[in-house]
Amino acid sequence: MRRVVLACALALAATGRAEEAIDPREQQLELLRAEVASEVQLQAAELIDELVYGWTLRAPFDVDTGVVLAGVSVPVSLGTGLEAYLETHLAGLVTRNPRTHLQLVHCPSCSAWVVHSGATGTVVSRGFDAPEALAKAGLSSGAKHALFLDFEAEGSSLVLRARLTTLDASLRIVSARTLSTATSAPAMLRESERLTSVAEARKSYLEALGGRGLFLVPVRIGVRSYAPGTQTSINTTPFLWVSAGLEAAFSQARAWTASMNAAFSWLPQSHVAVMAQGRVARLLTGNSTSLTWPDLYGFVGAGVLFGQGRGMLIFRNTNPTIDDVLNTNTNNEPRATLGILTVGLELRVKNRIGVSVFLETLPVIETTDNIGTYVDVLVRFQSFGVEVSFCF
Amino acid sequence: MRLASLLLLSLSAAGCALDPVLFKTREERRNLDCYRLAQADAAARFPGQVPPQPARQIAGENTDVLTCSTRYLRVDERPARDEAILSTLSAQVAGLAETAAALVAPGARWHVDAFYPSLPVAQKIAVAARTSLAERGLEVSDRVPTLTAGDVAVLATLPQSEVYRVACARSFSTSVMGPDDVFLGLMIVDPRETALHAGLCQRGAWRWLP
Amino acid sequence: MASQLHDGRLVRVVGWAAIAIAMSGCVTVYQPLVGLQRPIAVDPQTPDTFAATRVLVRCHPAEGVEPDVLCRNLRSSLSKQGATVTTEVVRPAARAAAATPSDAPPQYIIDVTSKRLHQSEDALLALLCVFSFTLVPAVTEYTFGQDVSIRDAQGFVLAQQSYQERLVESFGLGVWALNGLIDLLIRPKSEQVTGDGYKAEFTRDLHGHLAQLLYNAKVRARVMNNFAPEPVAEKASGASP
Repeated sequence: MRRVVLACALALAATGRAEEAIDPREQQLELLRAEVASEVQLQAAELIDELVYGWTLRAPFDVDTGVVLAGVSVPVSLGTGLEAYLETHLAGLVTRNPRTHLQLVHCPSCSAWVVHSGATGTVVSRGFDAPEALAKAGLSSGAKHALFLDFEAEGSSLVLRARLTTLDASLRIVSARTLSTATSAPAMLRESERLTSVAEARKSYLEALGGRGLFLVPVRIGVRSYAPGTQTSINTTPFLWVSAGLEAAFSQARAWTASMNAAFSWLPQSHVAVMAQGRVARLLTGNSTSLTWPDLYGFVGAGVLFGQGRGMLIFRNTNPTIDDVLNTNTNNEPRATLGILTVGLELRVKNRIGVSVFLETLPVIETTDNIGTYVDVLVRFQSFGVEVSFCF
Repeated sequence: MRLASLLLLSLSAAGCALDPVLFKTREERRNLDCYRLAQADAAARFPGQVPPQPARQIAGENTDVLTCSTRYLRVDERPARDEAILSTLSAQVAGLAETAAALVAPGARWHVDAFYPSLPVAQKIAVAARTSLAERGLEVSDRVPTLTAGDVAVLATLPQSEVYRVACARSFSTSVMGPDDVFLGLMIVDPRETALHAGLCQRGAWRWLP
Repeated sequence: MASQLHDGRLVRVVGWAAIAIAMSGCVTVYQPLVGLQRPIAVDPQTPDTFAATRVLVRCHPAEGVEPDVLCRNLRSSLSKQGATVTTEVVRPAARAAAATPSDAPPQYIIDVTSKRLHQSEDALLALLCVFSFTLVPAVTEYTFGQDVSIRDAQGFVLAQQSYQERLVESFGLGVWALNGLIDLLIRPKSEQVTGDGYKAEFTRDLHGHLAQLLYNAKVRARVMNNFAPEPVAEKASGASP
């Protein structure tokens, strides 16, 4: 236990990590690029979703129009094959959303380099920059417009600049749009067949969050064992408990929760006991519960236990006498009422199932004759317990 | 030992109240973009992460929230000047495009190009400016006025103060640009500066934007 | 007798507390918030970046920052880069005398307003700090902001920028001792959090960006004058030692 405490304290104090000098910098940069690309990929797809959704509301053309996807450029120094993914994503969206009136046309010569010699000289350019040259060469795809998508990372924002140009001598921009997102905003992950606005997607997200509710009904099954005391003739049997209660949270984040439980324990020939307990828990793994990862809570609690039966003899400060044992046979069973203070940790998955471990101290137990001590830090913890919980 | 354990446990318990920045390396701290938000705004923007106003008010805490986002690319991953230009591209280009649009009468056909030592960055600047102008409802062309190889060879010999003026005059005199065409050039003129300049070429006359 | 024992114990506790506070130190972490983490293209160590450039730095007073100190530091930084710097602390009531009277008017006027934007302390931690003899740290957070604008002699705005930074200060024997140990044994110098490293890092950032802003302003002035040579600057250059 002391080692654990020491490790925690050292981890707390370590307010910075040493750079790993062993790994070559190049290797780190490559790993970083891969990591960043996976994040950029989602956000870039999100921006394309928003662009196409805008076109479904206000199509750039009144009738179905052939458009060449002339180019997708990614942020400078981030060449990770992102272009191909984004082209495919856009093509899929446009195909599934005919209201955009865009029909993507394949034009390999549009992105090829073209050498065009005329009266004014020789010009080397990409096909979509010299459509008249393509037309003269009979390489035109028949499409009258080209679409350019340009992504750039500006600090913590990813910016998409999209423009549709005419494929004639003027290369006029007929539609342009700038969209921006931030890393702090999660991707909406909209369905490609049924694109919705950001506001609608956000509403769905909030509804999903709200669906979790501020109140839960936890049902717990657990076992408490008590440390053996110095009086070796006393057998401290573990107590099996079943409890149910109500848990409330301040907000959807569920960073702080409070709960009240009523518990029941019964063992033939030993005891019947009930317990009322209150707990306050704090999320330790962040400021809000995760929808994908388990959450770890730390909790403290207080409770009152009342029980009767031979098993309750261990909660006395005096050693059981022969009379005490005999009394149990004459329907005058020993009774005990005591307070309990609890500290523990609970690991929860999606606020549905959880497992917790805890230590309890029984302040009224002054001697170690009947019940011993598991851990002695500031106070004596005489009981150790494990619970499995199901939340409804 | 018991006292030491107790104090260390208190330290650990206090850990949850400590600022997250204390656990970040210098490099991680420098790769965050942060800004302050009112509690109510933060709760609206980050539902599920920032609790709504009443709960915090009950707890009597400060109602100011610091929001941090990690940059897509680390500050040292691109050359310093490129990063300085690209991370402020929208703001710089929007300002210049707004000024340019205000100086030219409606009805002109706009052409845009950027002059920057790195070609990919130059293209980013030009695209940003074209998009910005087109979004303002102006007629913008993707075509860049191109001078002949002979003209370019002569321009290469001129001092920087003359290049843009002469190129502009030559574009008009050789009918590369017509009377309705306007050219917006964006550039840096010094290798150690991180702010973009812009100039306008109209009817053969070049002027720098204020 | 019991009272004497009680008094003795109190004295011991107060004594330990006094020793703990006396031995405690601060661990301060600097975090650039706005603008300061952006890279710069000028090298502030180059001695002739602003050769023959006359600059007036005007520091405006604001809450939580001493404008005199700020002006002095900026003057030192720009002077090392070759500029002839005059400083002025702008007082709301009356103007202070210029620190360095100059016979030639400045080419560039830098207005700097630095202020404390936010400060917060965790009361619970402060309480724990006291009761744990500073083993639990007391944490204070400050956010400062600087508004900088550069004009030419005619008052034309050449450049302006705002910066923000945050300092998180942890006070206590425990956090200081442990971090001191980790600094000594594990962390590289650039990562160390005990001592004045944060001041050096912030100064490097702010002075570097100010140099970059002044450089951008100089180039902008050149462009706006259509690359005409700066006659005043050349004259000053000839006059300077």
